[in-house]
Amino acid sequence: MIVLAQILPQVGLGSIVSNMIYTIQFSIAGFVLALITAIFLMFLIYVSGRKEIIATIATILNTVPALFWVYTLLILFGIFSPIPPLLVVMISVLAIMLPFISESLTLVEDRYLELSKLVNAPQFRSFILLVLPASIPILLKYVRAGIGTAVRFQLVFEALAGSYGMGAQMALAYSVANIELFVFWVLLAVSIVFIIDLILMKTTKARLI
Amino acid sequence: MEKLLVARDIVKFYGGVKVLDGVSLAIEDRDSIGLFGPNACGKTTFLKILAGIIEPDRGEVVRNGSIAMVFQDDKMVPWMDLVGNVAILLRLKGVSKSKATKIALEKLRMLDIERFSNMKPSQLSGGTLRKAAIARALTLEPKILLLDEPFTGIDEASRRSIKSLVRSLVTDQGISIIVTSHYIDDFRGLVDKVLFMSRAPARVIRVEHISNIVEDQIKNT
Repeated sequence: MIVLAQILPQVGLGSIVSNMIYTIQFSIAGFVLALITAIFLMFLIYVSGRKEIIATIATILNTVPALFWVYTLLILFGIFSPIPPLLVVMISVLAIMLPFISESLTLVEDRYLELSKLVNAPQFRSFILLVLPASIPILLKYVRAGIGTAVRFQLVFEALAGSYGMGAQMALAYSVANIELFVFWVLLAVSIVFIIDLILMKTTKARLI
Repeated sequence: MEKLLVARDIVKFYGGVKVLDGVSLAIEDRDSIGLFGPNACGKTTFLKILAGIIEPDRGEVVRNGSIAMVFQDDKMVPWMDLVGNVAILLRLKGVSKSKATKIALEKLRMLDIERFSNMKPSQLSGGTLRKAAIARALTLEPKILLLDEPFTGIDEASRRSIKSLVRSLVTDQGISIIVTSHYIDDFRGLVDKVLFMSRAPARVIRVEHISNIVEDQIKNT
């Protein structure tokens, strides 16, 4: 509260809110893009029947520390490329979401797809009616990790290469040695990640019950 | 009379291990056949080949009538209510949701389990789920119904009720049935003819009318 009382006159409530919204909206947009891509990939892999490919890729991606991917993607797409930061977040989150695809396809294939084969159903219909709904409990597990990752990667991107958002404000405060302002933005970012995770955890539990 | 279903010399391997070794079968209208054999002898594999769910490595299956199958594990989809589960095969075939639901409700009513239509599979007994699995198969209006171990995991009352229900499908609706079990008593009052299958790799070792089967013969099989 003391930090907040000192910071508010310096920064202004409008600036705090707009930076917060900027970071959250791009984090969520990056996550949603990653989710749509993951579901599309899942469909392609389901149709091709090669689920072992995605399991292998997911293993490789996840044995390398996430920070490595952030820096690599930032260098490749963020700093030296016109590709917007949204895609950096999207690709980073996609790496986290890949095991969801192989887990879902393994579960569904074993249990329900014989129903589909019995009536010789088209693959798209089987995917929509059986595969996708069956994967929701697994998806919910990955949504928490995915959104958390999206926020973190968005903050890192803003801090390293952005000019707006909470990450950029953190970097700016750090560069002018305004420790109070820096601590304020860090605490705000941590609180937002915590609140989002809390909301998702409650939603996930309710859905799984 | 044209055969509804003919399977000739069916051979199937799993990972290089022969499971079925030249199994043949022919089904006519209103036939009721039991497949009797020890656990894991290949009965389920044979039924799935007849249903077209898996392909044989050798041999051929000729189908002249629609086929539906009741799976041993019911394959109820946990996130759908019972009516959704019964309608799922029609939905997979492309029937609209409203029409599929209407047909599913008719079948649930026919099997006297309509009152459970809005409940999830996890809230229902094994006997009710097995009846629902039969109802789901009947939505396809099959000429042949394959039932894989239909009496496994259910109580005696449900067993009697399901046996009577399946028998009525043959006598009243003219549906031909093939039932698997590893208990010969499951076939009594249900099928006319029993095919005895050997241990894997399974072959049909003999065929008997149900009335001719006595316990001593089974022990010697």
